Amino acid sequence: MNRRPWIAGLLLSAGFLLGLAGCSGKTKTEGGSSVKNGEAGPVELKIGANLELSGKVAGWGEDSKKGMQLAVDELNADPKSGVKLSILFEDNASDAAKSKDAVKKLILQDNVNVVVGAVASNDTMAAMEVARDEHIPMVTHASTNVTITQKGGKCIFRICFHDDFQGQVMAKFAKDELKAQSAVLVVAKGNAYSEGLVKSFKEAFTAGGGKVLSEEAYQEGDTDFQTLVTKIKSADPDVVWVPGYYNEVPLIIKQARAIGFQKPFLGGDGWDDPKLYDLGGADIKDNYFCNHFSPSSTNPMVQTFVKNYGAKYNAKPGAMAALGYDAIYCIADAARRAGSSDPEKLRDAIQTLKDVKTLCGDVTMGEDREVIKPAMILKTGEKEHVFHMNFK
Amino acid sequence: MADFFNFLLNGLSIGSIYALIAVGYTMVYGIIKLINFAHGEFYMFGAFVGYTALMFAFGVPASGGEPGYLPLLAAILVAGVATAVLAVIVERLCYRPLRNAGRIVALLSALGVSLFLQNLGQQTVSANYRKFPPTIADSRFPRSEVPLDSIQPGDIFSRNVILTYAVIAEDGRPQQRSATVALAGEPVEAGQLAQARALAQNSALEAHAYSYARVTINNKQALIVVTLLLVAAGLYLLVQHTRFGRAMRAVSVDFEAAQLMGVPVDRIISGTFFIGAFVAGLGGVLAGGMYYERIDPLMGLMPGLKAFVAAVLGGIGSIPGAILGALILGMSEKMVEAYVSSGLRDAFAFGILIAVLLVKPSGILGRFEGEKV
Repeated sequence: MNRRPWIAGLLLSAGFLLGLAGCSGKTKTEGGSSVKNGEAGPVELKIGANLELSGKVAGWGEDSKKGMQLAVDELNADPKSGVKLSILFEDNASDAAKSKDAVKKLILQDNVNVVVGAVASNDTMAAMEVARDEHIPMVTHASTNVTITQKGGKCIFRICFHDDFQGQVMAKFAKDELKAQSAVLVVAKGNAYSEGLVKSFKEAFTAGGGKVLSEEAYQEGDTDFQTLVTKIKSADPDVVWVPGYYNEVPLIIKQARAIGFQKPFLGGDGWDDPKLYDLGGADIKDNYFCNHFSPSSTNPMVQTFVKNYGAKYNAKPGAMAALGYDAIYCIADAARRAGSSDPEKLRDAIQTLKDVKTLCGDVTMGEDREVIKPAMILKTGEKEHVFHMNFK
Repeated sequence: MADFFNFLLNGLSIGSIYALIAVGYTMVYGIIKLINFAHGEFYMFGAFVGYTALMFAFGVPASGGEPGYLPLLAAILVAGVATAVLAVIVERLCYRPLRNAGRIVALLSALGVSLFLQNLGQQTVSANYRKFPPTIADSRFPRSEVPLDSIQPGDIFSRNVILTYAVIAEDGRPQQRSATVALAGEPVEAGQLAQARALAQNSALEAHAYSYARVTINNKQALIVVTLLLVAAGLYLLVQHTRFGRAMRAVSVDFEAAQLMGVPVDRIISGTFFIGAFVAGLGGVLAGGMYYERIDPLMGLMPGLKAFVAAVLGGIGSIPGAILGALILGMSEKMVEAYVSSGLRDAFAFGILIAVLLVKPSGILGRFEGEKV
């Protein structure tokens, strides 16, 4: 009996040593044969994608992956694209700590030239430290927390609008279009994304003369919102701002409708998933949120994308698929201009992206490593969102 | 003031859910002094069995119409029995061999089973949240009907008037919907009224317009509370008035003496697991399934933890204590959410636990027992 822990300990440490040896060996060999590009041929680029392929926002991670894969396939099939891409997908399980590990693996073990992802702001923020320290450019296609590009340093870029913008747009929309005088704000406690949106909405809404009646909170994973919706109903606001994710928002709306609260709910891009309708049913109808992308847009580029995406995956693309697709096209544009897969040159080329035509509007990278694009306001219908208006 | 009672009713229903889990915790602890951390996963397992039963045995898709009470009852029973069988197997494989190995070892085994079931669930059915199939249509009471024909454009009502109607869902069953007829204090709009009348005309079931009282209880909340009452009464009869109950109490008081007196200890312990898990499994179908209509493999984690707190609060080992503790926890949680801060709910809930334990370490209804040597 006494000897067993000994053996276990021995085995464990042996395993560790082996693992370490394996890691360092791999880095060396692959480091030696790092991709070199001739002047004439296409730029060969290794992209590492850090995505939520399982866990609570797996729906977005999967969609992003599909969009990215489609872009990679298109670019590789096009002889004029000037790039030859390979992409590695790493699952971060919708977990900040695992996201950091995923990017560590992509950079240190797989030697990728550029990292793309993640979706959730929490996951991106945990992972960007690694990219920053290793000087590998990282492009998040979908994390909208404002502080990401401020804290991330010169290697961290974003190709979607950020939370302040979403909050401002929706506050203005509530005031100008819905004629709302008062609002209740509902935050998903501990979620950087939700907290950012609540703050920016509040500033813009009160600056425009609106009144915030109360601020409420819930925890992700909660299912019982009876008390929350009772408080909302008693406050009787013109709109409710609930910029959470699609897991809890439909339950909040459903439970509010069940006690007879009939005013519209407003949200951000966190609503964009079919799960909103799966979980909320018919009660989801007639609410508004802003988004990066709408498959019902008349832009011919979007229509081609919707067609190709449908042919490949037999599904309708959401914003995550479109943003993932755009991120790959932006990276390809940068690689072509840099003429090299060297991370330093790649970084400079991403910094100078200019008028790249993408599905979600033209991308020009600003000094602050942010792009500003118009937002689309979508209205929720019976089973899917419909394009409502473009709003700046 | 009306809101206060709404919060109280909300606390009562969520407390009842905790109670359905907590009785299993407390029964198992009472009999073999094991804190069965896998108990929250029994609740999750029950919800998934109920989901499967409704989907496949009754052909109710997640976006279908409400099939009514009978399929719900069947799903509850199937889930209860399946969960109970799982619990008996878990006890046989993971706890019984460790019965003499000390309490810490059994506790670790329970933690292992809990994590195993969570991860098994995530691997087999994915970690995604999924919609539970519809069961019964929502309704609230008290309410009074406002005849749709009597409403004229321009009328002003002091409460919202809401139309309840039904459409035919994709599975051919009627699915209940609601629409606004009039908002409180605002004149009825002609367009909205005409729309409501058209919906009522085409409704698959008879449509009604209602105005509701300030304090209302939902039929699903009521069903959960009634279930808890039935469970409590059943357990009281079982423990106090049956041979099995007497044997349970005997094992609880002195395990070895009971064995020497001819009590089939193994069978009694299996039976205790069976009953506790049965109640947790049906709780999973009622709460996660019928009431919230959202399930996932980690859904047992937080309610399980809260139920454990409730059992300790009430005095672990005591069934009335577990129920009382759960109701107190549920209501205080909702009161904190309502009047203090919705973000501090859990902190206050656990704070209450610490406060009670400082004053009365054995819990509200628990008796202090010296450590048996």
